[in-house]
Amino acid sequence: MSVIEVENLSKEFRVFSRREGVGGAFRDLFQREYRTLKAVDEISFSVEKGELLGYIGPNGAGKSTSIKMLTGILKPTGGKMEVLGYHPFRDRKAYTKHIGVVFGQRTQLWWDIAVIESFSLLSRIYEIPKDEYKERLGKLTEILDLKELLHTPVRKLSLGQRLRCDLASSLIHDPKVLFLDEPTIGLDAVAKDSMRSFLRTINRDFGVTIILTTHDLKEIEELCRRIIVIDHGHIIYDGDLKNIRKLPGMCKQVSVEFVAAAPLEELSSKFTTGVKFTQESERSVVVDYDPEKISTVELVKNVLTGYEIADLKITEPDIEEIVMKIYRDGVA
Amino acid sequence: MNAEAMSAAKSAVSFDRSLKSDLRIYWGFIRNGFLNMLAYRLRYVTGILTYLLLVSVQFFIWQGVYSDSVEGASINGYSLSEMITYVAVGWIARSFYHSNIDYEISDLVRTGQIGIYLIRPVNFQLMLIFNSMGESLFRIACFSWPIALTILFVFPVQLPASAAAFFMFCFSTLVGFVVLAQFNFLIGMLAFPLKSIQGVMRAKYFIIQLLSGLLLPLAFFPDWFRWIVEVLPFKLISYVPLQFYLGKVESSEVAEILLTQAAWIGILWFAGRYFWMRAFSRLTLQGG
Amino acid sequence: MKAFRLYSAYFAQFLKSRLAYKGDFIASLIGTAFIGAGGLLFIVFLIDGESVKAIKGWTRSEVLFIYGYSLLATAIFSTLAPNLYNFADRYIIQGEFDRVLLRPLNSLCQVLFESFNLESLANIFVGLGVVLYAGGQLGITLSVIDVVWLLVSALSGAVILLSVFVFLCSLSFHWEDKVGIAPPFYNMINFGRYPLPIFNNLIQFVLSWVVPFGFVAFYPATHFLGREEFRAYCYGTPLMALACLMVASVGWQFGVSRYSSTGN
Repeated sequence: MSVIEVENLSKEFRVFSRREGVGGAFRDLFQREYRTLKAVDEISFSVEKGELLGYIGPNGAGKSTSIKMLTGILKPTGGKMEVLGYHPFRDRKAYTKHIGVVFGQRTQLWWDIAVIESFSLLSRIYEIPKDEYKERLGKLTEILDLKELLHTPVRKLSLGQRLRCDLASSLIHDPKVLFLDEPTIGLDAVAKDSMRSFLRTINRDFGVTIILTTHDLKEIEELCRRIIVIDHGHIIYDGDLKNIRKLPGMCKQVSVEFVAAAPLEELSSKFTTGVKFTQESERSVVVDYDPEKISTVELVKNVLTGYEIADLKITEPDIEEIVMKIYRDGVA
Repeated sequence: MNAEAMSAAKSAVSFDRSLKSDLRIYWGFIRNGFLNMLAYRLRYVTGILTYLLLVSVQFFIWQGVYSDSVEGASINGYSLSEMITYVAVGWIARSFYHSNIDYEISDLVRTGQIGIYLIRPVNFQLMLIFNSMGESLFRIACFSWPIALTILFVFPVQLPASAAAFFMFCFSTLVGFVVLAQFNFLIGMLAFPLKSIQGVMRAKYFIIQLLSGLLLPLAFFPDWFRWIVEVLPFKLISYVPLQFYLGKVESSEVAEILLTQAAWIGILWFAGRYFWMRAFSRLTLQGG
Repeated sequence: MKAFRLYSAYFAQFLKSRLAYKGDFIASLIGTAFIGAGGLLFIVFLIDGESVKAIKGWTRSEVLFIYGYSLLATAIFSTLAPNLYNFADRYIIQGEFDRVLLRPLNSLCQVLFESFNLESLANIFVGLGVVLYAGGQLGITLSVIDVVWLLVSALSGAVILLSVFVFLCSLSFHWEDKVGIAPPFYNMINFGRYPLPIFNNLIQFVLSWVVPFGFVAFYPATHFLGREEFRAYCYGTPLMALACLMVASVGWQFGVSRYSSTGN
């Protein structure tokens, strides 16, 4: 069953471009310059119930704009979307009862009062029955390890603690879909790690569908099976995270260390396409190759015959490198 | 003043820098402030309008007060024309002499940044005063003169009584600025025990308007209140400069006024120093 | 009723966070009363009954009565106003309006109820004191109807003030600026604290029909002052409040839809 349906969704902005310097500022007084910016350009995708989807892209790619449309904050300029059967913008008030949102950089809790007070006010905002609220709070307290934090004012919490509370506050009304915008930004490794395990638990045990945007691709790799990559307002990749490695144009790498000096020229002449040799040191060579054009077995066989090898290592490309490459070159 | 300009000013001034680099920083500050002003052209217009409205209310009240009496008659020694001048010039000066020192200190205390100033070889008091002087100069350069022009255009304001009177008005306004800045410093010192001084600053706002003579010349106060106001330093902020402007100061009184000004600046300085030192030693004891 | 309970919970929430700084709260309370009382001192000192007997025919007690009356409506208004004062900065530029839109509640009510200026309530007492004192001087006795009128008109006055500033806030959805055009309007409130006829015709017109601060205190107060010439205006106060509220809510909705199409 799909929870989110997006079809040809677009968002255009008219932006005022400020001119530079004192003279420019003067001219801006009298005549403003505008240009149209297509922040999101006809994107389509759907998300199934219980998915944990990574929504990634470089800065200014249209990530936040799409999230803001999906959460009902922004009104699309074109296309269709439906989340949980609601039209997020038009049915905003009814719709927001069923989703949770966490912005990593901003808290949604009341700054000066104890966390529990914020929760109890939220329970009234979302009209949660008392028993249900108690039960839910108990569960969240346990999973997110909030016991020590509940009676502390938000301003005295560390960033990691605060984010845990924010996460709890976005789950208190039992949302079906959770939108997370950079939920681990600025956290240290330990806090990041525990945040990830919380997300996994919430996804698995509560059956919450999660849409996650982040710059941290390690996180995506650990959490998400499926990713959507967006750039310049277009979806440039939508699919299994594993398959991204098999995309055409994604090079693998073999490092070879020879016993004698590396026979670079000789090797180069053995292959025609899809292989690139780079000399690392006197005796070692790095081979980048396209697995579509030449299989690993064939390559290694060719390199091994006729030379004495000290060491050989095959490396899969790092997810970070792949995504960087996608950002840079697009998908072939 | 917007927050960026204020923090730019805050970091802009320190006394261990050479004059040249100070000037360069100031120029950057003025230039940015100017660009901000242009970018936020609204603020410019609304700022002028605000002062125009403040003076307007007073203008009509005074006109109403004098309308019942004979043409050209004076009340408590002021003619209508003098009274309008008093109010208009008073508010024009108000547009630049005020300072945010109390707010800045409370902000430093709240955010804990005050600690930086404990280890810096800078005279905190002087730094803040000169800093807000920079802001005031900036306001004169960019903000107060259009206010002045607008007000002078709309209301029948008298010229200064004489060149000497105008000079003494300017000088006394500068003194008034220093007195107010130092008083604000003392208010700011309250941030150490109180943590947040919103309320005190709020109370201060009106008390200063009344006690400085901005709303009413001292002659309009009943005797008991006038006595209080005469004893306090606030009259130096607005009332005394305006007396000079209107030419209501006898030359025999000048010496005494100068002495009072000097005395109050000294007293406020040492009071500020005392409280800062106290806060300083407490802070260092607690380790910040 | 449900809404009322919810927003009182908002209020309680704020009360708790405000009392986190008790010393400052008490100082604020006193400070605010000072501001209210300070304006009174100005009037008392100015119209001392000897050298100055009246302002354009309005006696000291009358002027005081109107001033006290204005404190009632402005106190209610200021209690709810702090978020209107820095609306553009906090909600639009810093982007907190996103959060408002993520909750299943009316956006304007959330903005109004997220922060209060509790200290301003002090001025209700100052205002009441002055109204009673000046009313006593004027020989006014209060019937039940008078008390009801006092309540209705004070609330209407607060609604008028709120509406004007909500409308001005809604402009900042279109016109991104930290401060906006509201500051001079805050100063215009002062015109509404004095008898309207002391101002020139242009200002009187503006205060009656454009930025109707004349209805905040002056017009409704004439009910007690026996000035027949303002009767129609006086009893039109609740209607004016209703009209302002309508204009403000249309402006607000228009602004929110604009926010939703531009982000910020």
